[in-house]
Amino acid sequence: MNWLKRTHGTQFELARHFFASLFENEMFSREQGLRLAASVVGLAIPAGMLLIDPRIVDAPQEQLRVIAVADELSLLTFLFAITGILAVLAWHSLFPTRGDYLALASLPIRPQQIVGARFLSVALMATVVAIALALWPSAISPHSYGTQAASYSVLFADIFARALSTSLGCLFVFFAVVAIHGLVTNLFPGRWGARVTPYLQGGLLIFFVMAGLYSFVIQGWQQNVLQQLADRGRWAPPVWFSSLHNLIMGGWQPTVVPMAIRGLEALGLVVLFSAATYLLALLRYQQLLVENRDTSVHTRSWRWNPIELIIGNPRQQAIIEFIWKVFGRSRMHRVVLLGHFGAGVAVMTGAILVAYTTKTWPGWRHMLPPAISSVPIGVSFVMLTGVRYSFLLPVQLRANWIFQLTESQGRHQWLSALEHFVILFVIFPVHFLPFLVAVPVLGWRIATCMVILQVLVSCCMFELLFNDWQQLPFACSYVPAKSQLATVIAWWVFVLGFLGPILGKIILATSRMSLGYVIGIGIVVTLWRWLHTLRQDGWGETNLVYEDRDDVVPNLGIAEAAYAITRYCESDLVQRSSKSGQTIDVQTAVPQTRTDNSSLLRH
Amino acid sequence: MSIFEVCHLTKRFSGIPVVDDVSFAMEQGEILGYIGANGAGKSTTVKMIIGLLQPSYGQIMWHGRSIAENLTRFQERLGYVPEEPNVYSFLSGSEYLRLLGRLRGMKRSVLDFKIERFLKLFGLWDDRECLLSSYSKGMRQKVLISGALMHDPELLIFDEPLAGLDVNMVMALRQIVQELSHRGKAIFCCSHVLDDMEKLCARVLILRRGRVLADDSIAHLREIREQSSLEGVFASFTKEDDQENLARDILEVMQS
Repeated sequence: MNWLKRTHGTQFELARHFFASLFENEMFSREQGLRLAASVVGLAIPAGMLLIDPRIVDAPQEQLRVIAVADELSLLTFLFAITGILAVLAWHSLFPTRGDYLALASLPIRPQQIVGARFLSVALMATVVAIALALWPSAISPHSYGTQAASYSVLFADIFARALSTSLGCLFVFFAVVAIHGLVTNLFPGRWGARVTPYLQGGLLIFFVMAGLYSFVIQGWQQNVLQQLADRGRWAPPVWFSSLHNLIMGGWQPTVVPMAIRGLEALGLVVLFSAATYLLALLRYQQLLVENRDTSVHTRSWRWNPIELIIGNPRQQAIIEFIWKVFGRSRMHRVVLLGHFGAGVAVMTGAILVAYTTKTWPGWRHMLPPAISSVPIGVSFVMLTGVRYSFLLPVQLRANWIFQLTESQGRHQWLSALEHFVILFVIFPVHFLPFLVAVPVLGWRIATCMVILQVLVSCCMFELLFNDWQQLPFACSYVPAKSQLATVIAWWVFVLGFLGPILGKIILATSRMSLGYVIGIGIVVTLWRWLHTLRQDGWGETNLVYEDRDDVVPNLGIAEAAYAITRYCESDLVQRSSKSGQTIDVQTAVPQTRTDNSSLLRH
Repeated sequence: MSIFEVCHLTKRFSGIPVVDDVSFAMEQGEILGYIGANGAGKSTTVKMIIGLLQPSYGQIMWHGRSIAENLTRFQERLGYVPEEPNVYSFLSGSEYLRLLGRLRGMKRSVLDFKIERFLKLFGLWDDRECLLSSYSKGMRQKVLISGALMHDPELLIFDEPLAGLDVNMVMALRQIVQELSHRGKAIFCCSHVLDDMEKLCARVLILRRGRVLADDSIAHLREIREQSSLEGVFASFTKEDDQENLARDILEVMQS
C-alpha cells in the first residue's frame, strides 16, 4: 500500500486521478458515490438470487443442459446490461474534456499524456468492472448445473472459463459504449455533440434496461428456442461469449467456434476502434475542445413567446423560462430526465412484453388497450419523480442570490409557475401522445373518458410528490443518496408493477361504463381536490429553502419545532422592538436553531 | 434626514463576531465607501443589508423603519452588484437580464426597451446572444450593473464594483455613480481597492475584523492622520498587521 501512497510519474498520477474520479460528477462526490455504490451492491446480491433457476432442483439430466444454457445466456445478458449502464453513467469521464485541458494547462503536461491517462483509466475501470461482475456468478454457476459430479480440475476449469468469457463479454460492452462515445466526440464536436449526447445516453439507457429485463425472459427459453440460436442469435453478444465459454471447455462444435471467434473479433475491434477515436481526439483536441467555442444561443426570429400567451404574470414567466432553459442547456438535467423517461418506458414496455411473451402472443389488437391504459400512468409517475429529482439538483448554486434577493416579491407566483410547468410540460404531453393511439383503438368517447381519468390520477400523484415542496427548482443545494435505494426501488416496483396496471384496468373498465364513470370520476376529483387543498395550505407562504441538510439521524421533528418557535419569538421581538423603538439582541433573547423545514410553521 | 441607517449591526457565526456593532447612516445622494481588508466583514455586512443573512443583533432602517417590517418593499427599491460575478452562465446576456427583470415583475415592453438600451450602452449588444460562460469578468460585471440599475432603485449596493472592468469602463462607471448620486440615489460601495474608493467616495468607513475603526470624510481622515492618501490613512489604522514579516515568511516557505 505504501507504494500506492508514493508520488510516481506524471502519467501514473494523471491516470490515478482520472480513475478515482471516473464516476464522479456534479451530482455525487466520491464519498456519496461510494455510499450509493454500497446500496447497489447490497441490492445486487439478493437480486442475483433471482437468477438462480428453481427448476434445477429436480430436473432430469437432459433438461439440466437446456436450463444451464438458458441460464448462462440470461446471466450474460443481465451482466452485459449492468456493464452497459455503468459505462453510460461514466459517460462524461470516458474522454478528455475541455475542463481537463484548461485545468492542466499551466502544468508541464502534454496533451498526449492527458489522452493516454484517460484511456488507461477507462481501460483499467472496464477491467475492474468486468472482473468484479463476472467473478461471483462464475464461481456459483458450475455448482448449480451438474459440474459438481465432475472432478475438481474440471470444476475449476469451468469457473475459469466462465469468468474469462464473461469478463471478456463485459469488456466488449464497456468498450462498445466507449467507441460510440468516441464516434460522437469526433463526428459532432461542440454544441452539436452537447445536443446529441443526452439523447444517445437516454437511448442507450433504455436499451440496457430493456436488455436487463429481457434476461428474465431468456431464462425460460426451451430446447426449441435454443436450437435456433445458431441462426437467429448469431449477432447477439451473449451467444458469442457463451460459445467462447464452451470453446475454452473443449466444445469444438461447428456452431460454437465461429460464434466464439466472432466474440473475440468484436472485442478486438471495439478496443481498437476506441483507441483510434482517442488518437483522433488527440490529433484534433485543439479543434474539438479548445478552439471550438460556439457559445451563441439560438434566437427566435419572431417576437411572441408561447409561454407569455398562456401565462401573463412576468414572475411566473421568469420561472417557467428558467426551468425550460435549464432542461434545454444543462446536460446533467437532460440526462436525468431522459434517463427517468427511458427507464419508465423500458420498464413498462418490458413488463408488458415479458408478460405476453411467456404466453401465446395475443396480437396487437388485444395488447394495445391494456398498454395504453396502464403505460401512461406508469410513465407519468416516473416522469414526475424524474422532474422532482431534477428540480432538486442545483445549477450554479452560487448564482441563486438573484432568487434569494427577489423571493419575498414573488414566492407564491414562483411556486404556481412550477405547478403550471409540471402540468403543461410533463403531465399533458405524457397523456396526449397515448391519447392519439387510444382514439383509433377505443373510439373517441372511451379514449377521452380514459385520458381524463388518467390525467386526474397523474395530478393526484403530482400533489402527493410535491406536497412538502419548499424550494425553487435548481436553486437549492443537494445532498444525494438520502433516500434508501431499496425504498426507491420498492416504490417503483409497487407503482409500475402493481398500482399502474391495476389502475389502468380499473380506468379502462370504468371508461366503458356510464354510471361507473360518473362515480369513478367523482371519487378521483374529490381525492384530487383534497390532496390539492392539503398542498396549497401554506404553499408559498413560508421562506423557500436554499440549503439541503444531510440529516443522517432522524430528529423526531424536535429541530423543526424549535425553529418554528424561534421564528415566532423573533417576529414577536421585532414587532415589540419596532413599537418601543429599542433594539433587541435576537441572538441572546432567542436560541438560534436553523432548520429550514417550514412545514410545521404552515400548520 | 438619513434614508438608510444601520444600527449596532452584529453578526456572529458560532459565537464569533464577524461583524461587530457596526452603525452608520446615509443620506439621499450620498456615496459611502466601506473599506477593509479581506475577511474584515464587508461582504457579511452587505449580505445582512440585502436580506440574505439575518443579523444576530441590531437593526437596518429604511426611511426610519426597520426593513424586517417590510423586507419586500425594501428589496424592491434595492439594486445590488455582488462581489463575485455569480451568474447563470448557461443563459445569454439578454436572457439573464430578462430573467432579472421578470423576477422584479417588469412588463415585457419596458423590459425589452431597457435591456436593449443597457446592452448597447455597455457595448454588449453584439454579444447579447452569447452565453454568459463565454463573457469575460468585465462583461459579466457590466451585465450585473445593468441588472442592478434596471428597475431604477433608490439604494445601490456595489460590492467591488470596478473589479474586472477596463479603464474606459471604470471611468464611465465613476461618472455613472456620480450622476446617480446627483439624482438622489444613495450608494453604498464596498471595496478593498483604496484608489478606487478615493476617487469614488467622499466619505468612508474603515472596517477591521468586523469593527468600525473610522467613519468620516476622506479629506478629514487624511488631515487627522497626517497622510496624503487614503492608502496611508488605511495603513495608519491597521499598522499592527505586520506585512513585512508576512512577506518574509512567505518567501522563506517558497525557498524551503
